[in-house]
Amino acid sequence: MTTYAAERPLLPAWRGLIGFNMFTALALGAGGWFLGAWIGGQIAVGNDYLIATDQNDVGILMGYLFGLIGWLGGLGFFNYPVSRLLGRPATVREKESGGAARYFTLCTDHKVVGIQYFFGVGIFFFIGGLNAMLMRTELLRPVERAWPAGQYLSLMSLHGTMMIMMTSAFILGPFGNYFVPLMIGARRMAFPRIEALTFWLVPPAGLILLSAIAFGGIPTGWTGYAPLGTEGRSGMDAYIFAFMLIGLSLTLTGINLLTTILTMRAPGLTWTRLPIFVWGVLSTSILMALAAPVLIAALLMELMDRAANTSFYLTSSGGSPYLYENLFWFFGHPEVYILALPGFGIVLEILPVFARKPLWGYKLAVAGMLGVTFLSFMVWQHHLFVSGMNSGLRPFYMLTTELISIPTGFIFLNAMGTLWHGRIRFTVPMLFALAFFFNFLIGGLSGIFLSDVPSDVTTHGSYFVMAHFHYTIMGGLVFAFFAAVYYWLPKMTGVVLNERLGKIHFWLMFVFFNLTFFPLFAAGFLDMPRRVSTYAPSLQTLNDFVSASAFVLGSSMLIFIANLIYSLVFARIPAAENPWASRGLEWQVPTPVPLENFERIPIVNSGPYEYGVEGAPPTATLGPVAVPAAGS
Amino acid sequence: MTIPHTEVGPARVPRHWLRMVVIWAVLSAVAIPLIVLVLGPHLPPGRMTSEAGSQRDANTLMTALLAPIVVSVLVFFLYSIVAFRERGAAIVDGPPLRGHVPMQTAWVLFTSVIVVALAAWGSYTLIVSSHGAGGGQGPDPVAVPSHRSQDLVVQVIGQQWNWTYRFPAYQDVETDHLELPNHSPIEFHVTSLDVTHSFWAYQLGVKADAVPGVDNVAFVHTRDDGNFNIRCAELCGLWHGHMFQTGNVVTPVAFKSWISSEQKAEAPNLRYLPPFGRTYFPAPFRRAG
Amino acid sequence: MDAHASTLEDPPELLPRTIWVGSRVFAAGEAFFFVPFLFAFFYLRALNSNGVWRGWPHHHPHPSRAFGIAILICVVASAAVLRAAARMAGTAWRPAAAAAFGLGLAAVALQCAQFASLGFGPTDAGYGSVFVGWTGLFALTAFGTMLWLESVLAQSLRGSADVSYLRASVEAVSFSWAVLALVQTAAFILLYLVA
Repeated sequence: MTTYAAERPLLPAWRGLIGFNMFTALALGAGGWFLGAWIGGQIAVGNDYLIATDQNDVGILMGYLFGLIGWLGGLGFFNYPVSRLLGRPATVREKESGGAARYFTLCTDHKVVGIQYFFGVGIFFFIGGLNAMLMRTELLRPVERAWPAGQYLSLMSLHGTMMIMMTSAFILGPFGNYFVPLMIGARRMAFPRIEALTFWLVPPAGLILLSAIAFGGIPTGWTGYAPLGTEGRSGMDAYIFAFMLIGLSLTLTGINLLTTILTMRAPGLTWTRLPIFVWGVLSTSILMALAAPVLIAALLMELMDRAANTSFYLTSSGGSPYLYENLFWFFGHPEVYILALPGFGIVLEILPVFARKPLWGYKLAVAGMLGVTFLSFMVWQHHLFVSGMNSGLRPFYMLTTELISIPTGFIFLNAMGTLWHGRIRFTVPMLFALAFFFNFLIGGLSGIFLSDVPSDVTTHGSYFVMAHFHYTIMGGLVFAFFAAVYYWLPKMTGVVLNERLGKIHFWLMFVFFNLTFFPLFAAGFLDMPRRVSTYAPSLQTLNDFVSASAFVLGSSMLIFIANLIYSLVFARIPAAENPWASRGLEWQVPTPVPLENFERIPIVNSGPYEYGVEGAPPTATLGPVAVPAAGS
Repeated sequence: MTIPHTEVGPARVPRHWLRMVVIWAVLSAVAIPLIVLVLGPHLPPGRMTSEAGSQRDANTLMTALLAPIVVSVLVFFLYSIVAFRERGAAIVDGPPLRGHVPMQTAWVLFTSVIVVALAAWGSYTLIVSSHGAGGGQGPDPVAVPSHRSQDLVVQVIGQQWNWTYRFPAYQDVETDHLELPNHSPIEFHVTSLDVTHSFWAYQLGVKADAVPGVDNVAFVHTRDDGNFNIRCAELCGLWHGHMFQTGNVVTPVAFKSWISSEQKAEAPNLRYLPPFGRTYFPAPFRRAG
Repeated sequence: MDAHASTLEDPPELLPRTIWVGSRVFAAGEAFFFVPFLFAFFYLRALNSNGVWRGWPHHHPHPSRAFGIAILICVVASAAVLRAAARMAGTAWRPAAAAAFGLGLAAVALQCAQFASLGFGPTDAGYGSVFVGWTGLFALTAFGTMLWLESVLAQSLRGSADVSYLRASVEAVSFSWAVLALVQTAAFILLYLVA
């Protein structure tokens, strides 16, 4: 990297900003927005309705589209397709050498993309979290005080949509991209340019979603239900466009990761030696590649309803809101497993390392993940038990939904077996992994209430549901994410994270997470509907308690950020190559990971969890002992 | 930590199990009666209708059934991380246990049996014993009470942001307040004029989405007198949280006098109302671009 | 490949294999993208909300069947020719692929021409919505697939890529295009015949 910098002619600093990078992309994106909005305005000339209401959906959508084109063009995403169309040679890599500037441009190195995801998604996660704090401020009082009802509604919708959009790639983005090639002994992902694209679609999606504030906000929550979404103000266009971009990003991530895992495993890495995290990624990718296109189509229909006068979801013109509900939840339920499965993979990856035992019941864990993947496509109507559609099918969906708890239970059995007689060390990643099981136990079993129709009639649409999915997504996914952060960041950054701050972060987050969300089960039982800015005065004490806990929970994130800044910027204690004495292949490479990952494609000799096994060979042969067998 | 675990003798293993089982049994033995006897009578949504009662039974049974499961998993986790914690600085490997086929099989069978039994019991409650458990069943309900013709039909119309009620048995009168006779079968027909709402009469145990163009039917059988809360359980826009009313279950005599006074008061307005229908189709809302 | 990669080449058969697997997963995703339109057709037709699925009382949309048949023939023939081209030896696949490219573009052009003289529009109730949405997005997807095919042809004509890569690419396009041909067949049966 240093030699590269020396080779370049000396230029004034501002020259570095011109070229295919994020800053050019921002400028071109903004320019594209104005061009598109202007063209859209020209289309609308003479339309009385649009002039009267100033709600030109076509103009706004054209603005977003042209802005997106400008953004991607500024990053250089069109150079390669154009050169292909002109018949120039196909290449795989782009801009992999270079210093810190790589992080602000189209770079096909999977390690750079992993870091980009970590910070990019992290920033939007933080914004989503701030929204939650603002919401809890409003809910300190039973009537609207802090925000008017409309602003509360927008905050709530932004929080939900931002979190779902960003957490979908919360683990697969940073850690899937960074570690899957390392764990399977590959030098890159199958489609590195697509990998870069999946990340660079995320910032415009986040910014477009935030722009909804300027266009009247989002009235629908993250689900965007149809008649309300169709008549919502132009902020809904931002919701639709942003969510479609994320849908595209998820589809491409799924295709890329699935292909990588299927084709690029190192020799000797049989299916039974595959790290369990990679199995989690594999099953998630299947869901992403198949479910996310359905979301794109459902949102396109809503977009056409708003901008092209179709009537997919308009009952009075031959459409049906049920169509949207079906399509949305056909994506939406696999989506919640897109959130959960990588978490399963991470905690089962971490437990053996800190219990110093092989993963107990490996095949059962794989069966559990694949079983969840398969079943998740057949349960979507449990979100619609009281909607009045297909009431005769409710027993079927009740059964399939409850069946999902069987493969999910396997994951718990694996964890219990792995802990049994282990030599358990309470490192920060291990604490987060153990907390995952506590939270997911409560989250998962509260789901049983929701899967049973008589019980669901009580709890549907109430705070009980809200507490349930925060226990599974925040208590599950976000805890698993932090387990992965503390476990893998030393490898990604080459720097040790401060352990004391990490433990403070963990305990604050764990305790106040539970204090925040457990009382909300009671709020749901006591007749408090979701997504309200006002509630029964008798519930004020409960809500004030929850808000106070939520503020502490939010500030625990500040401790994490402080830890990150302190460890990465100030302390900079270099991390050992393998600080956890893990057998995982990703820990056998040097820190920082060299550009090509492995000098030679490694030959895998044994599984990654052979702790305490007498005479187990090293996980992989990395050195030049033999000519690598062709392929795998 | 007093448990020595540098050598795991075979004699130690059963004692771990014994301790955990004893802790589990004691905790479960305390928890289950507490849930059934103390918490149960406070679980929602009460017993104002027989459907609400069956929902409370479902909530009570599931809480009581899940408690020992939660306790067993938590006891195992807590016991393991306390008993098998390694405090030394050195990293020592544990015994390489890879799995235990009989135990895995038993776990799979046990969870399957519980899950299938829960689903079977839930389906039985839903279809047979409580006629849809108060949930909306759409225009063609599958779980219908035997004497449906005697039901009092109440049409619930959701609109941004209020509920109104029409009584076809009382000259289609439309009211903005709901009173119901006690000990009577009621048939709610829920529909909407604009966006999707969800009619949630908490103490009655009724929840049914109000979807434009759909006649969503829910059955309940009221029992004793009382007040109930009505809310909207599906986000419907700006004042979603304010779609709140209280209704009353009263004696049939009081109901008759209430409805006849409503009929008198509303008579001049009746001619402005559209004729009674299962659904209503106002002009389509289009954004026109 | 970049210069620095030359010492650490991928094994030669890796790229064709990733293209093969990737195209299968991609085609599955594409198929799932059109499933909602298939579902919407049956669902809205069965619900027939307000009795106007098939159009307004005095205005029932009837797309020209001649256009429909012409588009279907172009798409299916193009896919069949391309599928056959992917199996041909040497450079014989090139003219066949070029023919498939022409037929595919013709299908897109015909679809645009049909939109210009449709006689109804997206406002024409459920059927009109599904017709315009499905065929419009299909035309876009078909155009994208043709661009992909063009890039492979151009690389082959310029001789800028090695044979194994080109063969794998043609095979990948042909598979994805064949799946789209199935989608178009379903669209034709439903939108023109069943309606």
